[in-house]
Amino acid sequence: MKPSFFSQYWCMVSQGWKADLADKERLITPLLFAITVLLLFNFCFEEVSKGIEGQVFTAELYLTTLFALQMSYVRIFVPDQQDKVFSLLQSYPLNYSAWFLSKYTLALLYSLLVFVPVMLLCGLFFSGADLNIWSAELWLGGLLSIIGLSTLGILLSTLTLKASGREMLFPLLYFPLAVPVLLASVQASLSFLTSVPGGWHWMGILAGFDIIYFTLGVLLFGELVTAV
Amino acid sequence: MLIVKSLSFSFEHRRLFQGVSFQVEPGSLLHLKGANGVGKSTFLGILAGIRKADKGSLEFIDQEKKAHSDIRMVSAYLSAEANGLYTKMDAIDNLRFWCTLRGLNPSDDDLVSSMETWGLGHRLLRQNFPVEQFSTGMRRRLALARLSLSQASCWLLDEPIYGLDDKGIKLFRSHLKEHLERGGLGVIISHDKLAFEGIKTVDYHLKSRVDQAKNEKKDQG
Repeated sequence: MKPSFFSQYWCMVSQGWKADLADKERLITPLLFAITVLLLFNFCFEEVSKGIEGQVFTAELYLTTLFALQMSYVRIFVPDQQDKVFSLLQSYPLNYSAWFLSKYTLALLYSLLVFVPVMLLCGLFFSGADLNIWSAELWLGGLLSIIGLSTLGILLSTLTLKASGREMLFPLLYFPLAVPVLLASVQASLSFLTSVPGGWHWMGILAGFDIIYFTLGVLLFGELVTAV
Repeated sequence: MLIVKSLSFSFEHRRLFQGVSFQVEPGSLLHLKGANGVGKSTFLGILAGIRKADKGSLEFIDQEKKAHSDIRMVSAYLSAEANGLYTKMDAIDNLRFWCTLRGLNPSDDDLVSSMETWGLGHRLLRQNFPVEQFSTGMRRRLALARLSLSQASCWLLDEPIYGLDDKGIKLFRSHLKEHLERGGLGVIISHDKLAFEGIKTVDYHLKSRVDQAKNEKKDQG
């Protein structure tokens, strides 16, 4: 019996989620890291002057998210690397697109687990500032940014799976490639926070990069997996 | 029937083997022989779809005479040094996951009965007991339970009795025999002949680079 695309996708998602729940440390570490970084930022900046509150908010939000998510993405294949599970997966009649989408769904989920608390905490720290923190556009920008970062994370995690010095190599590739997404996210968020026009222009660029990275992910994942 | 034609493989610019060709008929077990480091496990990895050969082709013709060029659809692979188990998860979760990935939908009873067959019948072992707490032999038994649940026609076995006790080895042999009697086939790598004692095998000797070069010289001479 040929397994269906959806059954394989769902099977991989639920297994990945269960495997991560069984090893909660891996799940919680990026969030704890993000909270620590945010606290440090706020101790360092102390009182932020009125004119630059928006800039500081977006800098804190996206830098913290970027660093914390890098920790999540680099570990996305850790459960599959135990006991040569990854090799066995390669030997199964597994649809590569289902495999990619399952990893992508999990990455998106872990990204939300970091991004939402970071956003709320940032909102709390800047509650006295005249910023439009609860605007739907700001949250949409955040969502679009993690959609792009997640695809990039999965692709680079697969690419560096068997590389020596993986922990070093991953950020070296991830940070430069994340620049377009980061730049568009920061500009769009800043625009929505301070009610300055131009936010949607940056959102368009962000969506464009998301589409490019996602297409690359779907097309390249199978090649990367078989090359490992 | 498994048909291997002129399979060649190089690793880091070093030719490991070339021109490997053989056929395995239904009901037959091919014993892949060769010295350490000659590339037996790599070869089995190619058959399993984990590695890509530089040259050559693989084909599996099933009992309905349907040809499969991607033999992952019909094969089940057992690695030598690992069992491919999610160690933080329990046995039933592991079995269910690998079965679903193959498009099978076994009931809980099927999974439990398979575990019982492989001597993992104690109820405490089934759920909420991570596989990482299993002994080496118990993990191997669980991997073999997954193999027998796979319904695959072609078993690719790399040192399958690693870590098994006498009872486990006997159990493995009886399952292998049953699989072959049903019309299945297999390729086995095992330095321990106990793995297939009493089972007729067809031997294929994978030659080292030096042996291959000697043979080529002989042929030219």
